Amino acid sequence: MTLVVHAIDAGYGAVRVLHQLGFSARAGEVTCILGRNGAGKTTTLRAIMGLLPLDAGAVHLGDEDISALPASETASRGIALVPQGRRLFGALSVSENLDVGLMARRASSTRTDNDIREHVLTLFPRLRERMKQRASTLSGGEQQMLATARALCIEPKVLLLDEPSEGLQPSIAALLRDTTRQLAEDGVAVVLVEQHIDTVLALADKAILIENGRLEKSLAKDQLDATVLSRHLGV
Amino acid sequence: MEFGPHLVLALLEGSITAAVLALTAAGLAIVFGILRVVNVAHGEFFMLGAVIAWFVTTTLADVFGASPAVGFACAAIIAPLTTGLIAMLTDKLVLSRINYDPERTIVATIGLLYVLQQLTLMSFGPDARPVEAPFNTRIALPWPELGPNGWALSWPWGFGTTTYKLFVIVAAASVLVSLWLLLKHTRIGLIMRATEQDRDMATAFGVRVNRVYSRVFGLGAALAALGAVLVVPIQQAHYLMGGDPLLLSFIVVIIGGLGSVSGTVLAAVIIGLTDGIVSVFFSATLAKIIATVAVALVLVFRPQGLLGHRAP
Ligand SMILES: Nc1ncnc2c1ncn2[C@@H]1O[C@H](COP(=O)(O)OP(=O)(O)OP(=O)(O)O)[C@@H](O)[C@H]1O
Ligand SMILES: [Mg+2]
Repeated sequence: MTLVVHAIDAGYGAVRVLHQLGFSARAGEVTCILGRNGAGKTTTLRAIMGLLPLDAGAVHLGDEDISALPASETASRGIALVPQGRRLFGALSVSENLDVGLMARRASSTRTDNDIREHVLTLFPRLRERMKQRASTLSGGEQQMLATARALCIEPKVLLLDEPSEGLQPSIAALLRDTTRQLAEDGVAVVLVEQHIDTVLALADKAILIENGRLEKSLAKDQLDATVLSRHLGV
Repeated sequence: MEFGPHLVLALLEGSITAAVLALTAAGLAIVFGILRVVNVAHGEFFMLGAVIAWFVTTTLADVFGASPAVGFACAAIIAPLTTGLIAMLTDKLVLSRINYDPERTIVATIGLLYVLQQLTLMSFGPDARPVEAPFNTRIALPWPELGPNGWALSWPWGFGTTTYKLFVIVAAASVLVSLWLLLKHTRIGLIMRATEQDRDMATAFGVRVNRVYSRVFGLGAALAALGAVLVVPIQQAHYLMGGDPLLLSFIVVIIGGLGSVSGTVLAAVIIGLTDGIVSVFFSATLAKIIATVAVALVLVFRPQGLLGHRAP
């Protein structure tokens, strides 16, 4: 199923951050969102989730206009967010964080809670040993795994990942990269905000570049190379 | 009476204060913890609980000739339920409309305080009204004493309590245990705790935050009302009775750690027992002074409270 963002305007109070931003993310593909700090990448994902009201434009998932729904309904349509900075429920245990994800699962889901929990724990076995631990006491890498696992509990059709590799050691970043690729191969539409050029090159099927909240450029897979990216990311 | 029995009596009185205070303050604590607002009208929900309990018991007695026990049992259900619904209504009419903005909520709930107080004065009148306890048997307590033939139990004159006072302690403790089970071991409790942790992420995971807020506000008010129902056979209902519970609830919520329910209960026990002992041996005023000094010391030396977490 394709997620289509139609020329959205959004912002915080009187401050408009996104201007006529539009793009689409197809099932089975990784769509990367690139842009400098403050360009509006996180704001874009929040707007898709419905956490930020749209001043104009719409977001469609398949045939449905999901921007007309209350924000709490977005998850039930199969859209999951792995936010920047993880934002776990810190005082809750690892297991309870997964429970919150399981509660939000799509109504059409046919698998049991246990099946899904087992599935995500197979992806991230380190979490299994820490089920009773408070999420805030996990290491950074474990927290990122939990944030991802929590999102996967809703069996997403669309997965929004906001800088998942920020501050992680290379091996854990690689594990998350493999997981992301596998999810796309399984048919999930992945939207990935990413600053690391090698990760973008390894994963992206296409990329959009945001500058000052506007769509600056859309790059197909064959247009992605290190020189182009480093010029746009200003690194 | 000697010192020992006297102390036990003071502790018993303190336990009753602690039990009622813990219930009332737990209500304030969950509202603060989850909605992040200070409800200045919390004491008025307590007052409403007492007044409704009086209304239910007298109506049932006058109209149906119900016994005090039946009247009290009905009041214990109807008063918290009605108060909770009134709170949910104010949430819908006022708090949700100002989007739970912390400062505006303080002003709005001060207004609510006066509205509830004056409406009660107009309908219920200025008199204090008693509610008969459902049961009130005196129990004399034994005291061990070392006599010429070794240890023996004596029954000091005036050393005793009533079944109702013991019931208050047991009832409050059971409600607090249920609240704890609700928060820690049910789906709705999980939703409440997730909302408390991160409102946006809870929304992203399908939680209808406004509905949670409304229910928590209702639950907080219902806990205060229940505390009042328990205390009203001992204390009488009056339209100005909300002041003390509000002040003491603030004190224990701050000492316990803002929003921490277990900290609040711990602080209520400490303040309640201290209050009992100091009131019996010295004076009730000194007890209030000590509580206020304690809160000042906590604010200076441990601002996060006994069991609270430092702000991240
Ligand atoms: N809660 C907020 N209130 C007001 N302005 C905000 C808020 N959050 C973000 N902004 C502003 O919106 C703009 C875009 O922020 P956003 O977080 O979307 O950037 P970003 O592209 O994700 O940056 P980064 O790479 O640093 O994560 C910035 O100018 C930021 O200051
Ligand atoms: Mg960002």
